[in-house]
Amino acid sequence: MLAFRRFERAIDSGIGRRKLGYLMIALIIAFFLWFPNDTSQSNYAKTVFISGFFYAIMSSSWALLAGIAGQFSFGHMAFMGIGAYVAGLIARDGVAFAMLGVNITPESISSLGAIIIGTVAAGAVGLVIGWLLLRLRSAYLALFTIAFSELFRIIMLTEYDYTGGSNGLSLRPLLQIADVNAARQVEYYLMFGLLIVCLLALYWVANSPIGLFLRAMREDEDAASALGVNVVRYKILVFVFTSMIVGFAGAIFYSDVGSERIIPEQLEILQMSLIIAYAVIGGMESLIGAAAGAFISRYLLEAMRQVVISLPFGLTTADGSDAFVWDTGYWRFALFGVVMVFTLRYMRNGLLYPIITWFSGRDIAMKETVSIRESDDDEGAAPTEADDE
Amino acid sequence: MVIEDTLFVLWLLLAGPLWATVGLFILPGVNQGRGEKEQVPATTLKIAGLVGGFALGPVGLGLFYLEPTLIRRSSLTLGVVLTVFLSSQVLARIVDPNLPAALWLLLAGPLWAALAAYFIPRHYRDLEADDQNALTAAALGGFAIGPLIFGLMWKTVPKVNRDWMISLGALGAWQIYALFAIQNPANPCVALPYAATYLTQQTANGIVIGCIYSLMAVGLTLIYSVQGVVSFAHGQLYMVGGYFSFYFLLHAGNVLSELTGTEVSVNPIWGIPVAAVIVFVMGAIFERVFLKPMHEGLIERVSEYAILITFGFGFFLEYTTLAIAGPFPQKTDRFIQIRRFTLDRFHFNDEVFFGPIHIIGDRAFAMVVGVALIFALLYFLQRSWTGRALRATSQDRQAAAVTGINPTNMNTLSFAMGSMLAAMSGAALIPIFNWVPWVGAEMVGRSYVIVVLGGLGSVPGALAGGIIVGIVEALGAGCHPDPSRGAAYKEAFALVIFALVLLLKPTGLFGREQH
Repeated sequence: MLAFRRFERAIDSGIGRRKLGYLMIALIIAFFLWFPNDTSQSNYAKTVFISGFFYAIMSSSWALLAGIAGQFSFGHMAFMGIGAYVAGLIARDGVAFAMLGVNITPESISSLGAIIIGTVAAGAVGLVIGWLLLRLRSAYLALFTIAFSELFRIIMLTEYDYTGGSNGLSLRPLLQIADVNAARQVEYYLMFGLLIVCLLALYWVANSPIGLFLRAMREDEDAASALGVNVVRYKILVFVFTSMIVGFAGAIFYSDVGSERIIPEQLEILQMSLIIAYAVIGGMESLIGAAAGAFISRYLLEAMRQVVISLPFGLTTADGSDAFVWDTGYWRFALFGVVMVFTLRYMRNGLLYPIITWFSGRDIAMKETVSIRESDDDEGAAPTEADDE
Repeated sequence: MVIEDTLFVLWLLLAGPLWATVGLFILPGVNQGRGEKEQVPATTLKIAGLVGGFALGPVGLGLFYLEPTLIRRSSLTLGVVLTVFLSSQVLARIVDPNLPAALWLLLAGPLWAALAAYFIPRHYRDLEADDQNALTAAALGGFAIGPLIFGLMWKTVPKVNRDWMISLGALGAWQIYALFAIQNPANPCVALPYAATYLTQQTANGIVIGCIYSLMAVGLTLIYSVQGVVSFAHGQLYMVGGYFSFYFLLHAGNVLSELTGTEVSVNPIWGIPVAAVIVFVMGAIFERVFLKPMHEGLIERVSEYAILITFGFGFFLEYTTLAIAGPFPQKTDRFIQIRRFTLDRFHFNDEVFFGPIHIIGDRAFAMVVGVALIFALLYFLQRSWTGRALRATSQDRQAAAVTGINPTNMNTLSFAMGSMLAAMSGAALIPIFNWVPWVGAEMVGRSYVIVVLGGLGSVPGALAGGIIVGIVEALGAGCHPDPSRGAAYKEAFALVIFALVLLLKPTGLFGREQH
C-alpha cells in the first residue's frame, strides 16, 4: 500500500495521471493495431477480437441509453436485428421497392447502400417505439421492449420464406477478398475502426449539451422539465440515435465481416442480457468502461470454454490424468450472472470504475444525495396519493 | 379496378374533384366588394367551395356564390353528407374484391381513429371539459364509426363513461370480424354452421389458459403494488418452478418405486406445493440480500437498480438451469389419468365435454388450480391480518409503519409471495407444455401485457387482463388463415393489445392514476 502511495505521488509530480491515462489509451490502441500483424496468432483469435469489438459497440451504446439517459431498453438486440435483416432483405429480393412501385432492382443496390437503408429502418422503428413509450415511466419502456424483441424474433423465425427461418439470412458481403488471412485482417481493422468511430460519436453526444440534459433528466425529470428541457424530445432523440448506431453496427457485422449470416437466435433475450451484463460489469456510467467491459468479458467467456487445472506434486485424478479438465458449458454464464448481480449491489459503477477514476483524477460517477431525495419524495408524494385513494 | 358505367363518368364531369378544385379557387372571390361586417371567413369559403363543388358541381358553387348566407354549418353538414354518399357511389362502381376493406379504411378505421384521437381531446381541453377517457372514446369511435364521432363528441362534449367505450369497441370489433368474414369466407371462424361452436370452443380454451396467465400476472402485480418494483426475474422464477416440480416428481417417484418395489409415479399436483415452498424461500432470500438495501436508502437511483438487479437474478437463474437441466424439452406426467368415464351429458376421458365444448382434462385441472389459488390469495389479502397489512403498505408506507406494520417484512413477504405464485403457475403448467429453460422469456412478455392491460398493481385487473389476453390469443391463433403461423404469432396478438393500451389508456383497465 505504501509503495502504491509512493508511486501515486511520483506520477502526480511527474507526468500527471491524466496524461498517463492518455498514454495508456494510446498504448492499448497501438496494441490493437499491431495485433493482427502478429503471425503467431490464429484467425480464431482475430475472430474473437472482431466479435469483441462488435459487442463493445453494442454495450457502450446501451450504456449511453441506460447509464447516462436512464432509459432501460431491452430491445437493443432487436434494433441490431432490424438493421441487419432489412439490409439483407433489401439487397436480396427488393420486395420493398416493388411494393413502393420504384423501379430499382436489388442488384443495383451496393452493400453499403443496403446497410444505410437498414440503419434508417432501425432508426424509424426506434422513433415509433420511442414516441409511443418515452412519454411514460421508464418501467413501461423496459416492459414493452422485452415483448417487442421477443415478437421480432418470432416473426423472423416464422416468415422463413423471406428470412430463411432458423437457418438465418445471409447479407451481401461488404468486402470481397479471396485470401482468407488477408480478409480476416481487413475485417479486423474495419470493425476496430467502427468501434472507434462509434465511441467518438457516443462521447460527442454524451459531452454535448444534449448529454448534460440527459443526465439532468435521469436525476430528476420533473426538475429538468421545469427548467425548460423538452424531456420527451431528448429521450426520443437519444433512443433513435442509439438504435441507428446498433442497426448500423449490426448490418456491417453480419455483412460477412464478423459473421456470415444473422440467425434469429441472436435476437433472444438471453443475448440481450449478455449485453446488459457486459455494460454493468464494465460500468454503466462510462462509455469506455462499458466497451472495455464487453471486450474483456467476451474474451474471458471465450477463454473459459474449457478450464484445465494442473495438479501439483504429481497427484492424479481418478482416471489417471494429471489435470482436471472441466468443460464449463453454461456454467460460465451462470458465474457471469453472479458477478453481474454482485457488481450491481456492491460496485454500482462497474468493476473498472476504480481504474478509470484513478486515471481521470476525479470521481466520474454522478452521485445524488440519497437521504435528501428520500425526504423530498415523501413530502411531495403523500398528498397526491391521498388524493387518488 | 374497372369503372363501370357512363352515369358515373357524367358525374365526374358535372361534379366531383374537377368542380371541387374550381370551387376552392373561385368561392373566396365572394368577399370582394363587401363591407367589413359582411365578410365571410376565407377558410369557410374554401371548404364550402371544395364541398359544394364536389357534391353538386356548378349548381352548388353558384348557390353559394349568389347567397353566401347559405354557407353556414347546416349547409356544410348537408354538403358533407352528400359528399360521403357520392363518394360511396364512386367506390360502388369500382369492381374490386377488396372494396369493403377499402371502403372501411376510407370511412372509418385507423385513419379516423388517429384523427379523432388527435383532435377531440384537444377540443375537450380547450373547453376545459372533463377529458378523462376522451382519448380512448375518440380513438375507438373514430375506428368504429368514422367521422360521425366528431358529430357525437364535438358539439355537446359529453362526459365519457365506460359504456361508451364498451359499445364503441364492440362495434369496431364487429366490423373487423365482418370484413374478415368477407375476405376469407372459408375460414372456420366464419364458415357458418360450425363458426359458433368453433368460436365458443376457442373462447373457452382462451379462458382456461388465461386463468393460469392471471396467476402469474397476479404475482407480478403483487410485487409491484407493495414495492413499486417490476420483477424482471418473474419469467425465470416461473420456469424454475416448473423444474423444481419436475425434479421433485422424478426423485420422489424413484424413491417410492425403490421402497415399494413397484412402479410408482407421483401425481404432478404434489409438485406445486414443493415448488411453491422452495421458490418462496428463494425469493425471500433474494429480497433480503438485494432489494432490502434499496428501501433503506443505501442505493442511488432506485428504479434503475430494481430493474437491473431483478434482471440479473433472472439471468443467473436461467443459465444455472441451462447448465443443470440442459436445453432439452422436459415434461411430467399428466394430472388426470382417467381413461374413459362416460355420463349421459358429460364425458370424462382425456377431455372434458360440456355439450359442444370440450377441454383437455389437464388444462381444465390447471385452470381449477389457478382460480382456486387466486381466490385464496384474494381471501388472504382481504381477511387475514397479514394480507391487510400488505395492502396497507401498498397504499401508504409511512402510515402503515405508524400503525405498527413492519414495511421491511411486508416487502420481503410480497416479493416471496409474488415469486411463489409464478413458480406455482410454472408447476401447474409443466404437465401441459414442453419445458425448456427459456420458456420463461415467452411467458413473461405475456404477463407484462396482462399487468399493463389490467393496470399495474391491481389484482382484479390482473385476473381480467389474463382472461382477455387468453381469449384474444386463442381467437387470433384459431382464426389466422395459416394455422402454423397463427400459433407462432400468438404473442403478437397480445403485443398489439399492449401497444393499444399504451396508446389509449396507459393506466390500464383498473389502474390507479399515475402521478
